[in-house]
Amino acid sequence: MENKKKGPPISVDESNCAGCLICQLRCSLRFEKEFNPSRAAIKIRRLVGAENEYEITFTEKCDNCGICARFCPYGALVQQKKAA
Amino acid sequence: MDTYGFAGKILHVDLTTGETRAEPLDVDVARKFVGGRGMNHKLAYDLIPPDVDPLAPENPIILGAGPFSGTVIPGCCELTVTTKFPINGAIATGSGAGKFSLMMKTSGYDHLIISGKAESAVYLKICDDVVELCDASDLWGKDGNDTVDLLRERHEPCSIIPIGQAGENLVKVSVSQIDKGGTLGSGGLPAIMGAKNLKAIVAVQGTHGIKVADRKAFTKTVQGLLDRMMPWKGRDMLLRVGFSGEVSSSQFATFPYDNWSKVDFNEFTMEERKQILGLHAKSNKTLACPGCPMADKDRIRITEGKNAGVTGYVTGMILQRHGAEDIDEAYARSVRYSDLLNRYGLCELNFDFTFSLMAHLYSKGVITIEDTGIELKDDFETRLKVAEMTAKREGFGDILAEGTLEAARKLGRGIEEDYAVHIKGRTPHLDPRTAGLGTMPLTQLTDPRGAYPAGGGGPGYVPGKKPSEFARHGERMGIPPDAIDRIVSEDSWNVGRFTRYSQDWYSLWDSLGMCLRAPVSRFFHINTISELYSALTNIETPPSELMKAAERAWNLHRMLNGRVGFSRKHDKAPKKWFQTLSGPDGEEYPLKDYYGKIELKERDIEKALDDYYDERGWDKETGLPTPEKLKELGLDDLSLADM
Repeated sequence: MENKKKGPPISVDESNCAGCLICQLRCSLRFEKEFNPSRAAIKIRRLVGAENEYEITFTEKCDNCGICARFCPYGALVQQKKAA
Repeated sequence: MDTYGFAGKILHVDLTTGETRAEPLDVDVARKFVGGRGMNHKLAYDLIPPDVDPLAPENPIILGAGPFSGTVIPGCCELTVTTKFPINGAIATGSGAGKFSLMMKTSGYDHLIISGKAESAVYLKICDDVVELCDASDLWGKDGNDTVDLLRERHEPCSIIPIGQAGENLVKVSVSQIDKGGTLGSGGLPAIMGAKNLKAIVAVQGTHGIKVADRKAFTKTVQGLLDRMMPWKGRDMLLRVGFSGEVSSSQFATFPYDNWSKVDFNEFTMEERKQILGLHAKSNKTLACPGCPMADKDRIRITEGKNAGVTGYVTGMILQRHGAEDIDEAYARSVRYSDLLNRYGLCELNFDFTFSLMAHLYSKGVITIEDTGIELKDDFETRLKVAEMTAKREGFGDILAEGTLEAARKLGRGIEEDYAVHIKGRTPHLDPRTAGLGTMPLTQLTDPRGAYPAGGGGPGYVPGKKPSEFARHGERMGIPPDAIDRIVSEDSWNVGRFTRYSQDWYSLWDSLGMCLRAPVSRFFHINTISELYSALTNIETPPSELMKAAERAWNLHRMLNGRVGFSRKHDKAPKKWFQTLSGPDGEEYPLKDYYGKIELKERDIEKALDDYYDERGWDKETGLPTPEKLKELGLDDLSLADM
């Protein structure tokens, strides 16, 4: 079941992704209390046949907490502003 | 039991029998050596027979991930490999960046030990408890990058250490590239893998997590680092031009040519260097290692002009003019050359300077077409041709494949004595005749691995830094205050003594699994590392204890090679360092001290070495740790007699 969303959606600009996996590491540390990309609610998939291009998706577990966007150093993930 | 920071297991794989075995990591022992690289040395002491042939099945490949690997500490992406290297027979450790250390830990392993020899070509795949030797007959013959592409199609998300043709043909001037971008094991790791019929090692993302003992303290310290790193003014430039851009823009990084006999600081004018940076910024997509906000790996695709379509993965590319008339062409040729070597798995430094030696000998008539079979001009097309011959051990390439020292010995004619430039069989990085005798040249003399510069980082990397900067850097890397007072004076500093601490600092970083490149390391203080290590592992570990563990790891490395037969007599400067280097307009560059004031002779190098051994507490005659030093480090069960 999809989690209740805590915040506004995360905008994704995959062209900026440098593949650092900080989003997955931060997500899993926050929710699973350990660094574990396989249990992160954000998935980074390398596109087959492309050179360092990634598809970024979120699992149902994601509650838009925004920690991935907060720590993305390359501008690939940005949390949208809350509506006024 | 929680093994905070560590994954908790060591995986053994025997390629001969196909048997695999996991054993628990003894965390107390690992901590005695920090982890990672240091623990590799402990395993090497137990597992590598001193007299083993590097290419024999009995020579194991020991991979290690440090306790910081796979976390969010910026720069925590190093993997270390310890083995007996074929280029010089030293038991040594190399390190490389990329995803492998993270992926290995997600399967629950801090170390992976591969021994034996497979009956036919295989690749090793690890995912959690499932360890498989997979048929690699369809991959054999392919270059390293193509191998990575094919294995990614099968196993993503994963990290891959492949070999190209150089490894398959047991070439000693070879290096692996983790995920196409992280050099690992120069001096022949690919040859060792090739001898084992091991085409690649694939760590697939597993399901294990890395636990942090005190998450609050840990994340607070990491945040403190990020608060300083993210706004750093050098970051924007780094993200645009990567590591190769940094190197290309530095006149200081100019390499001598014609076998270390000439140098031209104006090979590229400052205007041309700016043009190169512009080209690089337009062509480069910077790639990051896990956990790193300072991405500096280069994936280049030239999109404009006559060289549009030239692509390459390069790491710290050596920019050369390659006979090109314009900058666009020089840049494209440099990319093509670097990418070709990476694909074959040839080491840019050890191959290129062995080639340079041979071309020099050919021009002098010391060797002829009778030896080489081809006209050996020092030009771009010949370089490409000889790279292929070397990777495939074809014709004269079979000699080059051995590296500078062995090639010189095979050819005879006094080449080893009069022309070969090497330290323990490896090509040096940088030339002290242009940079002065800082920590970088001295660490290359004394590193048990042979010429390797990483242990001499810090201010000594760049010429002309004030003594006060060495004092400040020394405090940052945990040199005791009384030692700083002894080593650094108002107008100078002692290169031999300072190098000891510089190496211990590097030993610590490599053992933690950290990248020591300046854009990351400049933000770390030993106290920060101590806070992170304590919060991560749940055991309060003061800075002095960490530095002692790093020193212990370095001493063990030296002892490992003492039993192989290395001693002070191998810490020898190339004869070339004492010959004057010539500039294009008759300028002369003799070997001088760090500040370029005093010309140095061989006896001055010996004095610097005496200081170094003294600061280390080593015997000045043998260059090995004394029994008292080993006792102080808790290594008194080691002696050359029982090793």
